[in-house]
Amino acid sequence: MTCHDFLEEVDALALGAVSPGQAVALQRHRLSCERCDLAFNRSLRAVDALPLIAPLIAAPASLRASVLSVVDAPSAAEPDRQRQTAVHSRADRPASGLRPVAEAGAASAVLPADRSGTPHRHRRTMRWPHWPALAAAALVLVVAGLSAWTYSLKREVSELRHAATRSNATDGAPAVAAQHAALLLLSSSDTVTARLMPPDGSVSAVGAVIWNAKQKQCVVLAGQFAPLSPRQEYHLWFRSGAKRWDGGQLVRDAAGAAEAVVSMERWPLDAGYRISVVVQPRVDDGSRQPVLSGEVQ
Amino acid sequence: VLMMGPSVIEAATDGDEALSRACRGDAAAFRLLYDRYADLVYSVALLVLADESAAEDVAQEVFLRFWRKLASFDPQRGQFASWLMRVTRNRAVDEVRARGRLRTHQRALDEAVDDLIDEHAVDPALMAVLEGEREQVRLAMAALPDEQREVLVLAYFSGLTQEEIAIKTGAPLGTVKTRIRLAVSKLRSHLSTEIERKRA
Repeated sequence: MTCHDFLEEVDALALGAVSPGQAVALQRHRLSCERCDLAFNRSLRAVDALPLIAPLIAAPASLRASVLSVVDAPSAAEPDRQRQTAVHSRADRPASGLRPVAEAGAASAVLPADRSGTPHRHRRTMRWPHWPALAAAALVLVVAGLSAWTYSLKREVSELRHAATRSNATDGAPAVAAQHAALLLLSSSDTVTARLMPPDGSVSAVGAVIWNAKQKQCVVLAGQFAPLSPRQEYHLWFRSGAKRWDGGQLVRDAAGAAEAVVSMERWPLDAGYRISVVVQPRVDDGSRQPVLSGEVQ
Repeated sequence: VLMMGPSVIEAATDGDEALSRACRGDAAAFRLLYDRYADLVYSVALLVLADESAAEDVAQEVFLRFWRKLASFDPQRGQFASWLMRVTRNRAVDEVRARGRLRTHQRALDEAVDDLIDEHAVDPALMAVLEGEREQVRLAMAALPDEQREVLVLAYFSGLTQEEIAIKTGAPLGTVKTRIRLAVSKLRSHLSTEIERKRA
């Protein structure tokens, strides 16, 4: 790889937008070339600012509890022990949302003491006349276990790939497109957001609108929609003063969520809008039952 | 302009005494750092993953990784905040890739948007420290043409490679590469000018 090749890709490398194989080759060159290393660090410093466009969300209290319980634990000075206690899958988590880090830490702290106790000493003094046979059996078990594990991993990866392909091809596309549009709007200046609330104050459905008048685009995200009869649909309406614009159908997915990216190219944007999600018949007869509404200025 | 000084985050969080104390094993100082950065770490993970539970797992892993590596961290290098954000983003993107890019938790983004207007939901100290910098980055991003902003967001927050961006946007690979180069170059130029202006 030449310096020219590296400099062509240096920004993509800093962004993490190169394949793993390409990244290895680029990093290898960077480590051997001071000039390219400087160029990489320049790009990285610009890219490092990008997290600041994330909307700040308060971290949950359960996160603080789980992190600080490890830090405050008496065994915290021993890194290996922390490693055992730190990572918990979501499946391990109790219903309350708090992770049992402290309990797990306590359990792992107890184990070494048990192992150094009487039972081990007793085991060491035991004589087993057929130990080669036992060792061979253990080896067979280990090999069989490893094979099964490898097979299971391969299958899992294959299923993930299949699911990703399926998702890209069908249901996932509109949702991802809306999330993509929402991200772009959120990273722009002059973007405003508003909640969409049920008109009766109930919590049956939730929604939000992300609106950018300069870009003449808005994204509506909604969830917790109840299933409808085949003759009905969720529909989006925009109103400004006496005028009304049709924002189109909101298609509810299996999880009850719906999203829409609406181009406002042909709409006047010098006034605020009231945005409503209603249930209406597929063959519109003018009857509308409001589900969510909100305003943007 | 060669931008070899601190990044915008570093410029805002430079000379952090809590970091020096945490690196000497002071748990109280670590707690302080946690309280200062937890919202930002969680927010970045949530933006990438769009899943509250997974974002919490990633944030937990990032903070505990920092705690384990305290002894090898040099506070004088002044790269803590950037390191924290970079690790968070990379871990979150790894998680997205492991899930085959399935972002099924739509509500997380809804709630992220809702919480945007609830400024009391986040640490006021962090808001005060970083608000000016956040605005700078937003302005720098807003100054980019749409297609350049798009490639930055897709690469950084969605974790797509250049090839994947080309497929997703329908643009030729060469065009995507050019957009990335131009976008990072403009971002760098805008931010370095701001930092130089602040220093002056």
